[in-house]
Amino acid sequence: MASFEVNGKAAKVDAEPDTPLLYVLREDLQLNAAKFGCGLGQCGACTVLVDGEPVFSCLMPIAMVEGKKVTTLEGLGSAENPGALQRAFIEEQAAQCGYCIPGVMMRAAGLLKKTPNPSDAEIRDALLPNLCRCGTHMRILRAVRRAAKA
Amino acid sequence: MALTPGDGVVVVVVDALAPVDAVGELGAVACDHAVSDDVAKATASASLRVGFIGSPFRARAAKWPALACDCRAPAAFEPGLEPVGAGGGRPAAGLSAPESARNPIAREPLRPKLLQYAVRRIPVVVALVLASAGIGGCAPAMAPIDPAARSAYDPGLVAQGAALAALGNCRACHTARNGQAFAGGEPMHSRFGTIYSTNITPDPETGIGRWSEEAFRRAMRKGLRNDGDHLYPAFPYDHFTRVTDEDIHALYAYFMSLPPVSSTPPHNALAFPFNLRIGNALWKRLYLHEGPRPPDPAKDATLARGEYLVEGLAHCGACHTPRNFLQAEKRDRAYDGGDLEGWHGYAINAKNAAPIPWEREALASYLRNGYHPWHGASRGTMGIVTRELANAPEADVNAMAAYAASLMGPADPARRSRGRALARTPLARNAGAASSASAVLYETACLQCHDGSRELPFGGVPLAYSLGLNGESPRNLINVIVHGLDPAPGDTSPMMPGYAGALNDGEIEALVQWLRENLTDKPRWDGVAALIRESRAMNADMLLFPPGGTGADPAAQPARN
Repeated sequence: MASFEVNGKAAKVDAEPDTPLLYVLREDLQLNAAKFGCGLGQCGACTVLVDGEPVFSCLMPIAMVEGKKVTTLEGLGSAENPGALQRAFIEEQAAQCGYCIPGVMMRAAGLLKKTPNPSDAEIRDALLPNLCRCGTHMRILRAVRRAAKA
Repeated sequence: MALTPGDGVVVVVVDALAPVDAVGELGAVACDHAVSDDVAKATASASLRVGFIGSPFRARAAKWPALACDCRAPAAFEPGLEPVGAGGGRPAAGLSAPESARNPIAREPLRPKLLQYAVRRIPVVVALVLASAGIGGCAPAMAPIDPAARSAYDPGLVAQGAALAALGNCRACHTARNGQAFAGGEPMHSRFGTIYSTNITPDPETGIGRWSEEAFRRAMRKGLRNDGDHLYPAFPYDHFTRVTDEDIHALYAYFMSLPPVSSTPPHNALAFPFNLRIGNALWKRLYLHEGPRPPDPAKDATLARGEYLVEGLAHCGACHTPRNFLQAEKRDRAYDGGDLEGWHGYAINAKNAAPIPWEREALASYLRNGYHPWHGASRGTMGIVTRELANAPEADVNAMAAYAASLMGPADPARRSRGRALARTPLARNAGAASSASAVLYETACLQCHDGSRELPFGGVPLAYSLGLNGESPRNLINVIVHGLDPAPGDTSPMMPGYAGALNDGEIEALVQWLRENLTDKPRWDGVAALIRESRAMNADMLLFPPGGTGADPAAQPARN
């Protein structure tokens, strides 16, 4: 049994301690924004915030999340009422296939929390661990800049 | 002694109640001693000496007749000058009786008193005095050359120089992050402060554009600048002094053929008295053994070539040998492993603890490719070395590997068969019950890549093979866990996510100790918590190394990221 907080709400999940956080989010809590990509911490599609820090949820055993605060993309806003970062991504149309975007947005959310007005270099550095195969990188950069200004 | 205060002389009077190695400490202590009367008198006399007065280490002191500026005014030195300490504590000419002569403690046997002295913080009469303002010149300045009059170099010679520069890893220190290749400005840290590397592009004003080949050779052999002043041994002239004239000729041609970059590195930030370049004269007297060594006729050609490169231009000992506090390599502990710039250079002698013993072929492959499936990936400072060696002649890298393997010696049969068995054993997943958070983390995170199902660079090295876990220092293991391995831009390379954000210090420490206890037969580490804090504070960019390297095309040197 693991207890932690997800998007401001207490969560209690009956899972083996070595279950990756990603599986718990998607299968037990039906929070499907975070995606399984490589399962190796190389693509970033599964990125969520744990205590404000972006982590690869595919490599994070649930035992390590005990008592911590997890934020997923669902925590930034909803389809009906998107948050500032989500609005910026929509306005810049920064997704093509969209598979990587939840991870990218969570990485960006972690950056903006610490660095509200990042330079382009800081945005690029921060997003380095997140891969996008479609090539919307320039729109992603614009969206993060837009969110910073919002 | 014919020198006068105008000659630009430092007088160093050391009453060393400590081994020779302690001079640096004593110097540091001297910083907070007011300049004493003794010193004032010494200054007046301007006699040029470093003496170990009344020292029980007279035998050692006797080896250095006069430690000082012996190049600016060589005629001023009396060849037979009696060592200051050699006459049973006879004070230097012109000095009043030094403290040691007055202080009976100084004449008593050292050991019991040394600590006492250190505790009282009066261990020395050390004075480092600027006898004049003219400290700049200690050797004759070399006549500057006219850059415009320089003729083009033979492309073959330039290519040969490029290969040598790759073997020497000149680029790593002489290129600042985000800077132009070889334009200098990269900080190098030591306990004395920070030294910034110099611009070695042929820019006439800020680089070496006005250096003659003779000046370049003198810098390599004697650690002197074009203007005659001393270079700090952060420039490893204790190794480069061994480079042959022929190779220096090619290196000079290569550097002079680089595109000139106008860039002045920041000023060094060194604490007094180490900010005085003259101190390097002392260092050189102690640690620099000038000139190339004749090859050992007993060695085969490959080993001899390897020795020449490893001990000389490639300066492997600079990282792989521990340093004393004067930052000189401890010769009695050659290749025992050392720390530099936040990374550990592992022992490359019989103490090397690789679970699968290194063999020359594996080592050669590692040096050329930056990874080996049985040993892992080279990153940090070594990552830059292997990146450069990828562009070096294969025969030379093989020779270096042969020599380095000979330093490690053949593994004993038991260790070798253990290693072979290890390499053949498929890793058992769920080997132990996941009884701790660290065990769970190992299963869930580490084993996704480090399970041995895919060889490097596509998977991680099985951690039981890793020198990172088995070696003498946890530093690199911690760095890699904290920062991960960033993919090398534009290149095929292993990569690993960093866990700085995902794990707190306690979790990382627990994991590091768990790995050590469960995947090696070695005892727990000491000092892990402090190393984790250091690692978090270090510049993670250290882990990035640039695409390309020192190649045969000097005009196409990309900036270092």
